[in-house]
Amino acid sequence: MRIDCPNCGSRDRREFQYLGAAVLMDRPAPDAGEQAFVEYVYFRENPAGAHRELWLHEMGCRSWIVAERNMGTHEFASTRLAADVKRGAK
Amino acid sequence: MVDLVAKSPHSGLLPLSAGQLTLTEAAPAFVSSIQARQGKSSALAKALQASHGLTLPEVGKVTAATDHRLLWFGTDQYLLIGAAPAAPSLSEFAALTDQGDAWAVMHLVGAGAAEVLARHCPLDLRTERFGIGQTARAPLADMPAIITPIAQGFEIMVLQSLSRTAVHHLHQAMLSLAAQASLI
Amino acid sequence: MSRLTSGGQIDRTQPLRFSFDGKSLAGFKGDTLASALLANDIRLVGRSFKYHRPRGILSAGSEEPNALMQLGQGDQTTPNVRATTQELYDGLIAASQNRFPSLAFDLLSVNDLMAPFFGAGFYYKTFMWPKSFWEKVYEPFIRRAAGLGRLSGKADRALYDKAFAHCDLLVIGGGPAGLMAALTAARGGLDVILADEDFAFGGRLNSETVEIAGQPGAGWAAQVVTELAGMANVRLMPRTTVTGAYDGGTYAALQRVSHHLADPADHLPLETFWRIAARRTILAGGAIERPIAFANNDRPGVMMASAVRSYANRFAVLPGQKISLFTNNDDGHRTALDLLRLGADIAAVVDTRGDVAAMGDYPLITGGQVTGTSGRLGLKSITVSSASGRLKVATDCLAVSGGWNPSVHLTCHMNGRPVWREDIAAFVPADNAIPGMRVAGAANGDFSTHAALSAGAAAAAEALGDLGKPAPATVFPAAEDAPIQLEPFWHFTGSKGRAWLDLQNDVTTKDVALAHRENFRSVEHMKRYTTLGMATDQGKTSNVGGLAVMADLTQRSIPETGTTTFRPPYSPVALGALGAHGAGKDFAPSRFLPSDALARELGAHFIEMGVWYRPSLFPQSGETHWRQTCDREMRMVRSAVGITDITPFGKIDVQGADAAVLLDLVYANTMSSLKQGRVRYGVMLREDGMALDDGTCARLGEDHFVLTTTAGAASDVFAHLEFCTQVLRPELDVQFFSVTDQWAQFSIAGPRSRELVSGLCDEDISNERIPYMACAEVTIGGIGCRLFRISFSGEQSYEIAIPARYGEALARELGQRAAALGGGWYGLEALNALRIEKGYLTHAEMTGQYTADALGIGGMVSAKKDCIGKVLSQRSALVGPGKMELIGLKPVSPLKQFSGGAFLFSQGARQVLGNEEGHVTSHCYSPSLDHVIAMAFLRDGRSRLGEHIIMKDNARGIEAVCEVCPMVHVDPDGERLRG
Repeated sequence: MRIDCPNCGSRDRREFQYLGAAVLMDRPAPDAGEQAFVEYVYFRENPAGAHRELWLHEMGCRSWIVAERNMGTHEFASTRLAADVKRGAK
Repeated sequence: MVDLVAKSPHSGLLPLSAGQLTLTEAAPAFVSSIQARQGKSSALAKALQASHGLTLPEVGKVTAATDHRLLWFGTDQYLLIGAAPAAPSLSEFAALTDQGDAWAVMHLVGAGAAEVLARHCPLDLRTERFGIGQTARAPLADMPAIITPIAQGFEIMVLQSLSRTAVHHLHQAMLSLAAQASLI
Repeated sequence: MSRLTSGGQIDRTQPLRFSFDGKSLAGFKGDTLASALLANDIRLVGRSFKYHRPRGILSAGSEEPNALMQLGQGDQTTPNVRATTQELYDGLIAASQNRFPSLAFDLLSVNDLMAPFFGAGFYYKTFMWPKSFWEKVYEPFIRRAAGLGRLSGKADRALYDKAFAHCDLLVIGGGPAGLMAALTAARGGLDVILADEDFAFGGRLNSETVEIAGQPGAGWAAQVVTELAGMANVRLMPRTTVTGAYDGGTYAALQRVSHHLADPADHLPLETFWRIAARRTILAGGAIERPIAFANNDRPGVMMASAVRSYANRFAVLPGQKISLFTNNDDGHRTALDLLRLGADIAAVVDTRGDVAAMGDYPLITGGQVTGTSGRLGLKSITVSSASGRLKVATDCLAVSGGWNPSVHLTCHMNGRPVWREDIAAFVPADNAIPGMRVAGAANGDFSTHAALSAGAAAAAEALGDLGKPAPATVFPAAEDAPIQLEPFWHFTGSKGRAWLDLQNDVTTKDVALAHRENFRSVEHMKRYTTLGMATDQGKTSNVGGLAVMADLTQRSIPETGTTTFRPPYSPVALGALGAHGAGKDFAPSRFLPSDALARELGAHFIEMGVWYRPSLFPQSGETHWRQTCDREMRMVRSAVGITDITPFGKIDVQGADAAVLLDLVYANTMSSLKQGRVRYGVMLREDGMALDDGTCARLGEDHFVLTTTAGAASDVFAHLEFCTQVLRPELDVQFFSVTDQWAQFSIAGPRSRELVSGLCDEDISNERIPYMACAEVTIGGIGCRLFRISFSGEQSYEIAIPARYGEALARELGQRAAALGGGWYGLEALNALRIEKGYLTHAEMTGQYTADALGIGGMVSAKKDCIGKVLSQRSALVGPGKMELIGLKPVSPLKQFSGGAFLFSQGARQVLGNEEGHVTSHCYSPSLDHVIAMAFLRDGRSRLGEHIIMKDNARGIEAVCEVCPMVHVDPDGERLRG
């Protein structure tokens, strides 16, 4: 598998570390309550299609990356720096 | 006062050669990390230009002066190699750390250097894609490394505690490639 | 001898000696082991897997199911080498497999007589009852009978290599389509890798007599290869099998580097396992001829027609004195013509089709079928049935052609399902089965030479277009363009004998019929029930045949019945190649301490902690047991001073206006309130509330901190900080950088530590200036260092960080000065025991399964601020009664040692799983207390101090009564620390 790092370009998958769904970007407010955090930490969709997820370019530039990957075909539709995505969301 | 003697990470390990390939130590006098403070990238660029005569390198690039250079290291992160950072003028715009003892620096030079590196590094090393003026962080035999093309080969930086392992792997690959070069 | 006196692509000036089953034989450079055996009239080469049937060479390629050999001898022997792909070299030693005592007389061939009992599914039926027989009778029997070749049982001393390659275009297969594709793409300026499993490029051009551009095909191929070899943008990879297709244009390939060498040079690898990243790929892997199933079609001498043609044309060997052919297509006739031209005696050509005419001067039986064979160890005759009756034909070689199956294998590796093409009665690759891959030539069902060449050129032109380059103007070479003339014929059902489908797993048409009768009719079920296609050849010559039999039985068409699929690897890959660069100590990188050389001089014992090599003990003369060393080192630290290298602790430099904001977020306790020049112990939680890591945080300046992490969690913590700053809070003005390798760091612990350190430092380090939990910048010998007054042993203690290049020199200085004070080096064993005495945590407690509260540091989770993990650490299940709490344990009556992982039970409780109330985490002997001590998790432990409980370790047979006590066993008030 190859992953397009927004900084480094196409790199071997073994340079990256997978974390999980990109919902992890939206940490609940500290006072959001236990249930909000339970959902944030544990509840996940498992789509047989497009999936937004977080990867770390661990052995490269060490950027956290938001990737859109098709879970059925492993095709990546897009990759963006997580910091840019997060800043853009504000 | 005690007298402490410095020891380089490749002491007793290098130089090595096999066939047309050589692996030598290339310890720079200084290495520092420079990380731009939030929103201070352009101010940092100006300060670096003024103090070191270097422009900020683009992603994956190197900018160089005669005896020092600046490597892109990550988003808003750079390594200044070969000169001590002008700390007072840079600190306002960047966080600095001394990295002069953290890295073991080697030069792998000779025909087939890319083939040796390709034994342990998944980077696309083809000259037209990765040539002089570029730099990349990539794994070298599962170790974090900085690979920078130089004339006839590559500069390879690994963490100093991993120097022995890196030399071992590179040397085995050099011997292997030298033996394969003799095959028709 | 069956060797022709001229012709072929062997080098008659380079004769080679080799041996087979101890017999010395001769061949030539350019031979495969198979062609050399045939040239020596050896037809019987192995015994089959299940029935031990005599078997001969079937094919001339990697699809070979029969001719598997044991190569080499002694402890470096390699089993299951396909004789059809093994290049001959001088001194090659080969032996047949799966026979005892000899190939011609094999005792286990009795299995063949027992065949009625050994049909499909016999394992499931036979070895079921009685249950008690499984372990003692059935399993040993099956193990003895299973497998073909034998491993030596010794370590493999061969070198294996692996490597990465990148290209614009990967061309798989160097036949007419692949060569044309590579040439077109290379001339168009693409970086091309051309890989072929054979040692000679050319594919079927080497085995056939077709002409290209007016010259022999093999000559044209050689000319193209010469041009490609001269181009800087082309990498030719002969002897390289592309074994798998993976996501994103990555391919695995196995290059056989020195299998063909009599005397490989030192450092030469046997094989190189490649990972190739290709922007585009052209699969031009050709096609594999398929057999026809008829009674006793497995005798030595029954071969594929294309293989007979290959041995004759390429290797100048006639595989029989009197050759017959059995075909359902025109291609079989072309084989007969080639053989005639080479002077062979053709016994008969049997064509299943009725309306065909002979293409040359050979006896032709139309509308005929081969219905049986004779000859125990080699073919003697065939029986032919046709409209004119039954006929026995004397022949020692039958060349069979049932049509061609395109090599779709790689196109199946990403779930692509081949599709049926009626006109060629074969499966072809599905469109876009592999993103970025095009299929050209016979692999796509384009069987004529002209079609292969034009498809190769067209595919390359398209790849050029994809990558934004124009296709070069290429003079297209003329070649034959014969149409496919084929009438499907799969198997003859009329006779009594067994008709073989899968020769490697010994599966017959009757096994498929049995599967059908027992309702294993889906292809996937049939495959598993009969084991058809599940041998090392993955059914390259049998899958479609098996499908055809099932289609007949269910009266459906082949595409209705199912399709074939294949998984990586295309052909077997040695584990040694997959694990190249990872054998023994190379399995993971090794990290060495700044003081490594000194510790080795001192005779230290080392252990691997993660990837770090750290001294566990510094034995002195006279010490014969590790405990003597450990106890001495502990006493030394508690009474004088001990030195240890703690460089592996992760060190992270954190700066920026928001540095304290970040630290307050990641640490459960508050760091923003830390004063400059002070250090604070901290614990980080994961968002699920469990402890991630503990360590120290020193404030060097208003906006400047340096953190330490445990050695094992250093990279996790660093990634966690990156997550927090990039993913959660990118607006923070905070910068951090690893300084783990920048600084060598030593701990100097013990009542005389200050004496030692003050003698080294150029500054005053009195208790007033550097009290407990203080930090300062100092100089030692003029070198800028950092001094931390922190302790991991409970003693007065300092940590000195010095630039790594001075690490060894400082280590030597520290050791000498400690020795003068009655101290010295101590290792991880003592370090660990010292911290257990003090109840300090390590990875044995901080496993990621416990909260700060369980670890006894719940009070550190600040109530005044948010932090990662705070909310979930307070879930009711984690704070209610019955929760785990870390406590200390001491023995009630004398105990030799506690047991790590042992369960704790209440006194009187039944000692069964489910009743356990906790377990021991860390334990040691405490020289200070002169008895063993432990740390343990126990339900509601902190409210059970003084209670007697049972420690039970069934694995080691240890049971002891212990007393629950506070975690801190030595100096509970911490007076030594502050002194």
